[in-house]
Amino acid sequence: MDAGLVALIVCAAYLLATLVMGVLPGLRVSKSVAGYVAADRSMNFLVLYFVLGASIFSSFAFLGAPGWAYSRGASAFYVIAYGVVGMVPLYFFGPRARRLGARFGFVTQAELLARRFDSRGLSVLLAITGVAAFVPYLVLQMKGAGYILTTITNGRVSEAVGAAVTYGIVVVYVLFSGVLGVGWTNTFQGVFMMIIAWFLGLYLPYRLYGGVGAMFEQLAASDKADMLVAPGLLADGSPWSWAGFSSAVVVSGLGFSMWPHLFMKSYAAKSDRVLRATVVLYPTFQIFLVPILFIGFSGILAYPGVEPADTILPFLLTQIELPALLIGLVCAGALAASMSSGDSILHSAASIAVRDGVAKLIPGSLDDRRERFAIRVAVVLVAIVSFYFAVLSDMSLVDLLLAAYGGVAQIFPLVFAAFYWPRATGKGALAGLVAGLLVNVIFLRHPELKPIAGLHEGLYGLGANVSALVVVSFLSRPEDPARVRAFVEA
Amino acid sequence: MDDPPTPVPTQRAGLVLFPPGTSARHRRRRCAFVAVWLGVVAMLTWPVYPKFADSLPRILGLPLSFAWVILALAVMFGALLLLFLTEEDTDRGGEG
Repeated sequence: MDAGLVALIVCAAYLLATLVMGVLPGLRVSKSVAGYVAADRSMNFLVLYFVLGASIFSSFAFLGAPGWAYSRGASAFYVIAYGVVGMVPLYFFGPRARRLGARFGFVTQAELLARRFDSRGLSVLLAITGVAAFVPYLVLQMKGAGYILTTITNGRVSEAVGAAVTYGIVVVYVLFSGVLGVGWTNTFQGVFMMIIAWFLGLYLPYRLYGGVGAMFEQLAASDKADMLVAPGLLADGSPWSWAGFSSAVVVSGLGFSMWPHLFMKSYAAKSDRVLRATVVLYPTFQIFLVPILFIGFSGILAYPGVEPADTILPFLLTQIELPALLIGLVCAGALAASMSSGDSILHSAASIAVRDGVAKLIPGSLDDRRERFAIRVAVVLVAIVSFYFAVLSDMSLVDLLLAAYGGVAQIFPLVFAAFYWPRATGKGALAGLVAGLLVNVIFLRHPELKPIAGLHEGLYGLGANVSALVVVSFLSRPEDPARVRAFVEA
Repeated sequence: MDDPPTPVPTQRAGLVLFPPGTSARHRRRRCAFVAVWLGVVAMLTWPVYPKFADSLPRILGLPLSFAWVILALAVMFGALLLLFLTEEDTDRGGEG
């Protein structure tokens, strides 16, 4: 049988298994919004662990990280570095958010902040920021899925059809089961991804160089030795500055736990202890990036000049003689990386658009049943918009995604102030968020204006954000002490 | 007749890192953990990481620059695990 066909059958079997695993939990979750968005606050440790882990490891991790290691060398260590420090804030914020969620019925991040700061405007702005940040992130996942199916079928399945089939399945189980469908599929996908990553990460260096140590020795002895020295290279091949690397680690680390789809999972946790245990064990998920980077490093000497660099993993698969069944499994693993992030993003974007946007703009317009229906409509709309950008548009996604990360990091000062600074006011929070977002976008668009070249624009945004938050809070009337106490003493 | 003006609420100007009633032991433990966390941030950024940014020596076959990041991951994991295991169950609230 044709090798491509075997691989395609394996992927089809994987997609079918994912569909079944995603739909089944929907049979036992309640029909309320809390059931659809926060799994009735009942997620156990196993599911939450994989939801948090697999939601973060996306097409970027499976295709982009090896691409970075291949083309930019030690720069790729940044991907591990920011994750190491980025999950920690959730250990402190998460349980407080969970308890407040159970008490006040929150299911989104903006609901918590809007209540603490008594600001509907803040809720709407966070909804816009969240959805704007999610769309490019979802587009990348769709493009990754389309690319994989195109590669293994030698172009017989187009990228558009590949993305449509994969995300058609995601839409079905997200519509049917909500976050619980995301949870169980992510568990399945997470296990699958880990096995595939470790297998390929150890096998490729062994096959091409005789082992991981031998691979790095040969790299160090070659004219590519500089690629092993941190902080590595920029995309154009010039050295990355320490200012750029360090600020990228700090901004991404602060933004990491602020991604609304990640933060919202605090509400789904069964208990504080389950949530904390998940954060504690998160580095065991993070370690799987190590073999992922081995894959990229293994291509540097063996196959120089692969363009674009993000295709190094599929390229290696076509160069190494692997059984068709194994190629199918690897591609299914890459699909799992795309889908496990895509489903969570899709679900969160729709929930946020309805709960924090529409429902706040037109108060009292949605009862529980209508809201659940509206979220489902939003799931389909967000999927269609993202599909349009993924397939029909040549828009620069890298710019959008970079702006998205810098933007998401601007939520950090607000969450911190909500829990730890009683004097913070709604006007201060709104001013801080607006200032942070504006400065981030200005320096992203005009990097030549940065006072220190190379410093991540998100860091300037955070400076403006904190300054505006503090100054405007002190200049405005303090918030109601009873309301503030509920958050500070949660 | 005009309504009396609403009194302006007062609020503490500084940070409140722990809710009232938090034990001194709990505060110390969490402060120590945050210090470790900041230490790990320093390990992975300028000016500490540049001192361990070379490819030599090789640690278990990996370049020093790579092994250093994995060490930071291990330190963070150890610190999180220690904090978790030594903290009392706070599910009933109060010391989040």
